[in-house]
Amino acid sequence: MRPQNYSVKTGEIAGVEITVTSYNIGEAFYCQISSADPGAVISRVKSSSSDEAVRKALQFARLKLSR
Amino acid sequence: MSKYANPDVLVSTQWVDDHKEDAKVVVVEVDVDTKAYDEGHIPGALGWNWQTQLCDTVQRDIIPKDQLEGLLSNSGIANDTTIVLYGDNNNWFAAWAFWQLKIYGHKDIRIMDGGRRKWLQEGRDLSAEIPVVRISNYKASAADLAIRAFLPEVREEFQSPGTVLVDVRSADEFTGKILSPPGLPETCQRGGHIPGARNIGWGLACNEDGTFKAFDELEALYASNGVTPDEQVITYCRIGERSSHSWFVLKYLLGFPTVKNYDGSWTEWGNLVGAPVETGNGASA
Repeated sequence: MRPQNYSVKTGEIAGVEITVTSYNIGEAFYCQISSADPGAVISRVKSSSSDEAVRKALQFARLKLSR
Repeated sequence: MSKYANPDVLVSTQWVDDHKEDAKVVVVEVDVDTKAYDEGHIPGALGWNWQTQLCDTVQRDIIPKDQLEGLLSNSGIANDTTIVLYGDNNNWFAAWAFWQLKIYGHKDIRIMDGGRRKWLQEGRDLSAEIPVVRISNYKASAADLAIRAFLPEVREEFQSPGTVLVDVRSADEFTGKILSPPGLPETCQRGGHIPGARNIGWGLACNEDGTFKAFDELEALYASNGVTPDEQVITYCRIGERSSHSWFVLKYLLGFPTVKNYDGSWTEWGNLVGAPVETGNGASA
């Protein structure tokens, strides 16, 4: 199996700079939100679609970082 | 990679693809995100969990010698095996494993330049299978403490003219604005840094794709902050893992003769009663 559509984007949630890493391995779509520095994992989601994986990962990250 | 002081310690993703099935090569993934290995890894690669397998889980320390021997034996690693380490986030924890394996004297260890990110970006094969291992009988050397700094030494040396401390944390941690970055639980009572330390973020040693910067860029990065090979360098961060990455760069890529990683780091110093603390900007890169 091979990873596809690997993408790294940056953004900000609650004043924290984040990186949004997404890709799929076959039919499994992954999205991980990490702090830009040093790279601690804030949320990670596996889903059946790319959009949903990103949406849920961002949602969890917002919840966690706004506490 | 040829201009690095020790070019053999880095291998490319292509080299790993070509050699991953060699009998004398064992590839090991060590991630910040300990779930990443399970979703897919380099075919034949083992996964080590830094939280449970590369730390003493009772007292705060690196893995003891007998446990390291057990880990390597159960990984099918012999004393003459070539260990190739890789991981996520610019090989952050691969460098942590590298440092510990060097402490216990393993000779041939390499890091896959660019780590997991580059492998995935290039769309190379992944596997979810955990390889079957033929257990070996690994014998580690006594710990080489020449590459590890402990608190008494740091307290004695931090203001010595021949020693420079490199704080590799983010600017906000260095200045004391925050105690720890979001998502990382280990913290401290006070924010700031060890007086006189230079702030050179660990990630500055890497390119956008996770590979290490070229020798000249790395040399300029440290030289512009007054960090040169004629001094003893002690790196530190929060718990010693980011600083093992910078230790690797200084020791193996730039070839500085005396570089130690202070793994007690800020979670030790910043919790000490009466330890001197400096806040605000120092020299930062």
